[in-house]
Amino acid sequence: MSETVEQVQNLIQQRYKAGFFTDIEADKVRAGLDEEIIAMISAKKNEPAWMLEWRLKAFHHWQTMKTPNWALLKVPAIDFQAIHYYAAPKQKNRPKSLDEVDPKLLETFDKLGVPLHERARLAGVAVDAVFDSVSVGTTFQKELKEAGVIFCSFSEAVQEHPELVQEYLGSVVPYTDNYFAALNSAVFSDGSFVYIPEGTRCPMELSTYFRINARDTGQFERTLIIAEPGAEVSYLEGCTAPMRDENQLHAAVVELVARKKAKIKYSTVQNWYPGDENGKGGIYNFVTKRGDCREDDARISWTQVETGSAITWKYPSCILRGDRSAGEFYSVALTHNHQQADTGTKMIHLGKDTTSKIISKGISAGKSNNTYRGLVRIAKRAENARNYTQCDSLLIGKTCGAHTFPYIESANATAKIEHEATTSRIGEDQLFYCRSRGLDEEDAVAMIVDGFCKEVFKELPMEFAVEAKALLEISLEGAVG
Amino acid sequence: MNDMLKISQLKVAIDDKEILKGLDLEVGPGELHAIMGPNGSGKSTLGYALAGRDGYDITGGSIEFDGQDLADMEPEERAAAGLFLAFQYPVEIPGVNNAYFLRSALNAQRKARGVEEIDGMTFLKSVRESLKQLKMDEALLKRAVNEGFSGGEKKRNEIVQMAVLQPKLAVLDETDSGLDIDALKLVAEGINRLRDGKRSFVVITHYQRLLDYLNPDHVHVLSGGRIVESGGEELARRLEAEGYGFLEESAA
Amino acid sequence: MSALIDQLAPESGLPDDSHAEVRRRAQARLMSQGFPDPKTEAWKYTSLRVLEKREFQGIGQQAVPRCALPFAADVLAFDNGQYNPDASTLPDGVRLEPLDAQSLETLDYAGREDAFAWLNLARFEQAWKLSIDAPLARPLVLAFATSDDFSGAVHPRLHIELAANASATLVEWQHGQGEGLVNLVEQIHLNPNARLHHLVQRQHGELAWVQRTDVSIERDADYRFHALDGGGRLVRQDLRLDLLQAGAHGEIDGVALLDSRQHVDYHTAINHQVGHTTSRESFRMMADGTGVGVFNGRIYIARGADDSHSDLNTGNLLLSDSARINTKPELEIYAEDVTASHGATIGQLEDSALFYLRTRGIPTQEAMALLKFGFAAEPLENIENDTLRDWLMVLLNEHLGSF
Repeated sequence: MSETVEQVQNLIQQRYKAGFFTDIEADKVRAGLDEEIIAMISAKKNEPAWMLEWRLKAFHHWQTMKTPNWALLKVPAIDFQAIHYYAAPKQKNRPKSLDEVDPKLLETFDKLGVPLHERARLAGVAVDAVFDSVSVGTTFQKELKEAGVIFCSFSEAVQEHPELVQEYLGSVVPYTDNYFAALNSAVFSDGSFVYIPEGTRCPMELSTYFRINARDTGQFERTLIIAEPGAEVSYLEGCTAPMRDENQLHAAVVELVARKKAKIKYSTVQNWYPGDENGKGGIYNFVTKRGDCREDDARISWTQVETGSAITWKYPSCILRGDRSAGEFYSVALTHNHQQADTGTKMIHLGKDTTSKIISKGISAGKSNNTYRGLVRIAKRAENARNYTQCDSLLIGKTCGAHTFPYIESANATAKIEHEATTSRIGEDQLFYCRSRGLDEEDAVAMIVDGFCKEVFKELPMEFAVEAKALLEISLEGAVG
Repeated sequence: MNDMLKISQLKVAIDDKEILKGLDLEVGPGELHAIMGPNGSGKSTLGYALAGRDGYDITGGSIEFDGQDLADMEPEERAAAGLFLAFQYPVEIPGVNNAYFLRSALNAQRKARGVEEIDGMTFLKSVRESLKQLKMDEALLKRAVNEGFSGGEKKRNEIVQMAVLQPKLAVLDETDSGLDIDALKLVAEGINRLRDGKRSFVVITHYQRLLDYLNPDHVHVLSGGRIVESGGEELARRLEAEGYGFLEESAA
Repeated sequence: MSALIDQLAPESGLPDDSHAEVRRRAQARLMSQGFPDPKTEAWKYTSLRVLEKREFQGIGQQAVPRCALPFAADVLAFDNGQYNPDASTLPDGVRLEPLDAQSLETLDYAGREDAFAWLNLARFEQAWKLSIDAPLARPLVLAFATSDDFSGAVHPRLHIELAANASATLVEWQHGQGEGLVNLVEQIHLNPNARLHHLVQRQHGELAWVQRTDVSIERDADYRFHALDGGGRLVRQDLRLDLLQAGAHGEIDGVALLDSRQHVDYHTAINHQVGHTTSRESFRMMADGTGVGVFNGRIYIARGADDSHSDLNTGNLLLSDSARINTKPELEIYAEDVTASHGATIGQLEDSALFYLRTRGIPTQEAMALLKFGFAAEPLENIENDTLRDWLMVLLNEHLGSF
């Protein structure tokens, strides 16, 4: 018995491969949250006055709010005064190009499989690498510029394109939206900014890699993607953090704006440190992601593979405002050990002939709890709106939980909504069949889970699909037996 | 003698796309006409246009059925007038009992014609007889309309309905597709039983095999929304042997 | 919301009877938590504004309607919430007695979402214990009716217990008139191997009707709930099935038909507390006019309740642009060796089905009624007793004819 436990532990030790720490001197503001801290963050970024003003408004609003408690999550009290809201690797001067970036940072991203330097970088994918509170560099800047695409860190966008930031910031997720969005609006440090001009198809995949490194810090990044009429972009996001005994807070906000006939595809592979097998440590991931199909025929598609974080609270949503606009949500959420996930989507149908599709696959193992929570709302004027939802949950082991809470609201008599959900254990006959053909149990489980998730994986860009599949296999190690 | 069905220069559009482009067809009483044609030629559109489906807009020409202009008639009025369409894909109606449905339909038609409603016993006798002839399980009567029926059962159920409703003109839209040879014979027998020298039939099909059992009086080839060739049974056999390829040659 | 407290639960006026202690405790809970508001999850889609606007007065002087049923039955009449022995017959094997204080002392409910249960516990006028000790030969009808001039707020309370191996068909015939509130609490217990078919036929006018039905089911006992609900100005039904021991089985079948000025909210919960338990649920809602339908169906499978199986399906038809449907099927699963599923749809009558019926000669209006009937009748098909099933089918048909 104890031998088995040990084996499982070994596997778990191995499984989080991004758990290393980069020893680099950090420029950290003192712990705590008050107006002075916010002013310091704003000053470090040399922000214009309107930006600081907006942050302070958000802060004051946040002070009036309470932590949300409707999710099926046990969230320990978070001491917001114990967190450092800004941490950046010390650099003498702001690096002008990737060549000037501290080699230790480049090495970190190398190790994470996201090489930034010219020789090794991923072909066809432009990467913005965010380390704690700041962006350390963005690849393929020149090529993108030629196409008219703006892809840079959020801080840079505030400096270089203030008019765009001012116009769109908070236009999809206002700072009043929810507790964590308000907090993010007050203290966000960096993130990515994407602008695709009219009629332009972004010539390559855009990607941001988020890395939390410093101790006792929170990460509060903000992403804003604007697709002008007829523009198209595919954006990928990845995240990891070192293994630590303490919990760390990540509260991001992502806003997508799709104008007439624009298409935005947003994919996430979330692999924040999930904590150890006893539930110690791990990231608290409270994220607000929302896309606005602001004009006719716009299209926004969310794909997420969530394997990390101790707590995930995340509902990438679509506001289908334009007529014939379309929203999609494809999700795989895997929880193991003591992880808790409450994730899903909201599809708000406002325009005529709008369509949405939700495919959610939840896998629970160990002592974890995994919840799908979704809202499909058909407004009175959303003639002929259509939604299809499929939610499946797979249980591995007797001590986990799988839950489904779909809210379905219709106020239009021409709308059609279909929702289906199933919960079951991994099929013993399937397992036996695989094993009788010579697969060991773990491989068999991995294969069955992969099949279970196929519909979602096929939505991911190729490089990510491979990574997601591998991640799932690693995350499931020790889940059976 | 008046025609049972007289279609003149019929044009039908779906979503502003013209599918039938000036179709002419005359079917006399007691006649059985077969309409053949490649996929996409407009065969099913003809069936739906005759039955009066929404969205099948008549943009030109006319359909006269038993002396009445069909254009302004609702589907149920056409049915009451004696027109029957056997669907290519019979619709499933959960929760509506098969026997109840058929009796409601029969009585609605009788009422519209000013005939007394049929009593339960007479009705059941007639349905049971038809079911038996088509080798259908009587238990199907208690099930919901077409729900959980196999493909073949659905098609045979259409023939049962036809036998009970006794239309003047039956339009059968690919009733033979998806049937094995035994079921095909049953369906053919079901049709032949109703041929009484007065009742007319339009049999829409892709293949000749059903026609082997039906001996059609006329065979027409529908292509590109028009009847491009008409003839006797030998035309069906020629199509079977040569395929629809020759149409393009003759068109060219 | 305090207006509602003043109206329904003023500090003074608690009856000082043998239940005084229980009443005081319930009143204190109610005062501390208050009535549900729009932020109360379980009342998210149901506002109490209708109640706030009402002034509750007397229970009325006029005669209440009597049920006329097409089958032989024993009837227990509850007129304006009060048991009327003169209009009732108790068959052999059935006892109706005032509830002893002990059965109420340990009762507990949750917070604000259960305010009406606390209200009932504080304010019930009568509390009855109905014991069914043997298999009953014919249906037992609970006739709940209020008179045209009813404008009171009443809180009837009924505990029903089926002895081991007992079986019964219980028909609740509910016809409420007037503009008051009936806040009914039912607590049903099935001892091992007992069997209860529980039918509810409901048709209220302007009446507000809040009902909570808690059912606990022991080993190999079988409980089935069937409702044909014609709605009311405000109808809220909480129905909770606790499958307590192996072999326990629960089913819920319901149809709710809503028209203008009607609001019906069903919150059902099936709790598999132990393994080797089974359940199923099928629910249909149809909303026309300005009707609002709410359905929340929860399946809960507790940790360790292996070999539990449950399926829920809910279908909804939205027939008018001013009607609304909010539906939320929920699964909360903590055991592994289970199968649980749910499906939900919101839509309209199928065009293709309508066309098919019309090509067979059925006029449009009739075809629509037929399709509605087919849609709504499905859950009622599950009623085993032919007479009762036919009774509800006929009522459904009549209702749809005027729909």
